[in-house]
Amino acid sequence: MRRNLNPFLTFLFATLIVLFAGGPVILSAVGSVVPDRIMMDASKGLFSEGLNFETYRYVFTGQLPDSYLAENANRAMISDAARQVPRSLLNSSVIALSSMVLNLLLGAPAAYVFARYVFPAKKLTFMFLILSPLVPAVALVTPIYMMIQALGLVGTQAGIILVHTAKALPFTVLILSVFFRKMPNEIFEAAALDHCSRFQAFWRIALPLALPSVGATGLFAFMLSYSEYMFSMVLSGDAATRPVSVVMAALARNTDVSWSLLNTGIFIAIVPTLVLVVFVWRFVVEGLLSGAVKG
Amino acid sequence: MASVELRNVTKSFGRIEAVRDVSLVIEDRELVVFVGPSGCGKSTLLRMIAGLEEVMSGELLIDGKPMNTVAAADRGIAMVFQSYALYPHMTVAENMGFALKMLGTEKAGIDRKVAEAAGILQIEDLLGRKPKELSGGQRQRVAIGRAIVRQPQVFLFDEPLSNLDAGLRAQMRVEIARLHERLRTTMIYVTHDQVEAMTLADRIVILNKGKIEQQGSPLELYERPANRFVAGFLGQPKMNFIPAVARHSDKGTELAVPASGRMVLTAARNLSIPEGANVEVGIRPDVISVGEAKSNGAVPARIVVVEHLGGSSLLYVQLDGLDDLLTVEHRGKADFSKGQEIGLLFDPMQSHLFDADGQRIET
Repeated sequence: MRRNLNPFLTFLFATLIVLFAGGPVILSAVGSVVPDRIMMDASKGLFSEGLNFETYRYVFTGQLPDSYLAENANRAMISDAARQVPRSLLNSSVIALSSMVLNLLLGAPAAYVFARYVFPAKKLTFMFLILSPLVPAVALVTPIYMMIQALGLVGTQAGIILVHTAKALPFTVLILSVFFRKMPNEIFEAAALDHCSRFQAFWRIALPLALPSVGATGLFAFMLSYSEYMFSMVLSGDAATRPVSVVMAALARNTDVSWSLLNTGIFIAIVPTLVLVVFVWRFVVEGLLSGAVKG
Repeated sequence: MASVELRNVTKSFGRIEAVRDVSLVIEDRELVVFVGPSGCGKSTLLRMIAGLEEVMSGELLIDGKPMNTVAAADRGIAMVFQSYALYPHMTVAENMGFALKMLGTEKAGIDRKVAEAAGILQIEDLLGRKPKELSGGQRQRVAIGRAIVRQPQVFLFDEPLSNLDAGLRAQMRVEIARLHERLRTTMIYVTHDQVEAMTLADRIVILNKGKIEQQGSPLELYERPANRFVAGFLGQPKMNFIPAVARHSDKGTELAVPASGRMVLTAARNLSIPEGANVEVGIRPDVISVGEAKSNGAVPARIVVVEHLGGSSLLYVQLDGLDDLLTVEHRGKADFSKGQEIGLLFDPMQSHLFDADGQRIET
C-alpha cells in the first residue's frame, strides 16, 4: 500500500534538504570564483566581473593572483598553506583509501564470523569492539602517539592509516554483521551441501550478496578517515605526509586569509568525496533497494 | 541409488527432544514421505540425514555406510529447501552448476549436466535469468534442477511446495511424482500436508512428538490407522471421533454414547473389549449415510452448518449427548438446510475403534 504524498510538500522538503546539504558546497564553489574585493563590495553584483580562477591557479601553480600584486595589497591574505592543498589531497586519498581497504579486509570477515558462528567469548569480544569508540579520542592521543612512535611510524602515512583503520573498524564490523545476520541460513546450508568450505561460503556467497553494504561501509570508512583531524595532525610530519584536514585547518587558522582562497581550498577538498559518492552511490542504493524487496 | 537406515536416532535442542529413538529403513528407490504436525521432528530428521544437524545418539547409514561424522557435502545427497535457497547473485545456470564448479568439474561437463537437468524440468529458457526474475514455481523448478545436477544417491525435499499457491502445488506434486518415476532415485520428502503425503508416497511415515506413530503405504494407513492420532491426521475432512461405552448383547457388541445412552454402532460379533469400557468410534465423514430422521436404526441428528461444495455437501451435525459436531460428507446434490433433523447411519464395517489410550482395537 502506497499512500499518495502531497507533491508540493514533498518538493518543499526535498528543496530544504538539498539547500541544507548542498548549500555549503554551492557557497564554497561560488566563493572560490569571486575575488574578495567584489564579494565584500555590496554595490557590485557577484558575477559582475565574470568568473575568476586566479586562486585555483595559485593553489596548483603558485602564480599569485593579480590583485595581490597590486600596491598596498594585504599580503597576509595569501597563505602558503593553500599551496599544500593539492599534495595534501593526494596524501588524504592514499590514507583514506588504504584505511578503507584495510577496514574491509579485516572488518568483513570479522563481521561474518560474528554474525554466523558461535565461539567462546563471542558476546564479550563483540561488546568490547562496539563500545571501544566510546573512549574519547583526546584521551587516546598520547598513548597512541607513543605506540606509533615506538613503531617508528610518526610522520609517516602508515601511522595515520593504522590509527584510522582502528577507529573505523568497530563501525565496519557492526554495520556488516547486521547485514550478514539478515541473510537466510538456508542459503549457507545449500552452500555447505554444494561443497563450499566456510571460507568459500563467505567469499562466493556472503560477500557478493553483501556488496552494496560493503560499498556503503567502505565509503563510510573513507569519509571517516578523510575528515579525521586530531590524529592526522599529531601523527603527520611535514607537508609530504600531511592530509587535507590538517592543511585546511592551517589555512583557516589565518584570520586574515582571503575568503576566495579559503573557499577554493574547501571546494577542492570536497571534490574527491563528491566523486566517490557519485560513483558508489547508485550502486549502494540499488543494492539496498533490491535487498529490501523479498526476492 | 542408495538405501537410508536410521538406528535409534535421537536429537534434542536443549531440553526439547526433537527426535526420540527413531529407527527406520528407507529402501533403495523408494519415495518416503515424513508427515506430521509442526514440531513433530520431521524436518529435524531430514536435516540429520542431510548432515545439517548432528545425530546425538544412534546411527545413520546411507547405502550401508555409517554417515554420522561424514560432512553434508560428502553424503551423496541433494536437498531442496522450502525457501528454495537459490543464490540470488547467480543466474539459474550458475545456481544449478555451482556444486559441480566447487568440485572442479570442467566447464563443458557442467554445461552439459545443467542443460540435461534443465531439459527434464523444461526450464531451458530460464538459464540466463537471476532468481528474482522468476516466479515461485520457476524458482522451485530451479531448486529441484540444482539437486538433479548433482546426481545424488538420495533426494531430500523439505516442504518444497509450501510456498506455492494451491494450483501450482498440485501441478508440482505431479511433477515430483513423475520425476521420481523418471530418475528412480531414493527420495525422502517432508511435508505437513497430508494430501501431498497421500498422493506422492510409496510409503508414509507419520511422526508425532519426535516419534514414529505409524508407517506404511498411504492406503494401508488410511484404512487401518494404528491409533487415534494417525486416524485423525490422514483424511480430509478429518475423521469423526465419538466417545462410546461398550455393552455386550446377543446381537454383538453395542457401542453407545454415554450421555444420551443412544446406540451408535452394533458390531456383528462380540468384540474383545470388557463390558462398560470407554472407547472411541472413528468414522470418516464420507462413509456416514444420511437418511430420514425417523428411519429405522438411524441416529437422529440436527444440522448446524451446511457447506455446499458443488458435487458434494459438508454437513456439521449435532448428536444428542455429544459436545463436538460431527462432519458428514454427502455426495451428490441434496437440499439440506440449517436446523434440519436428519438420521445418520454408521457402517460397522467402515468404522474404527480406539481404546482409552488411543490405540486401535481390531474389529
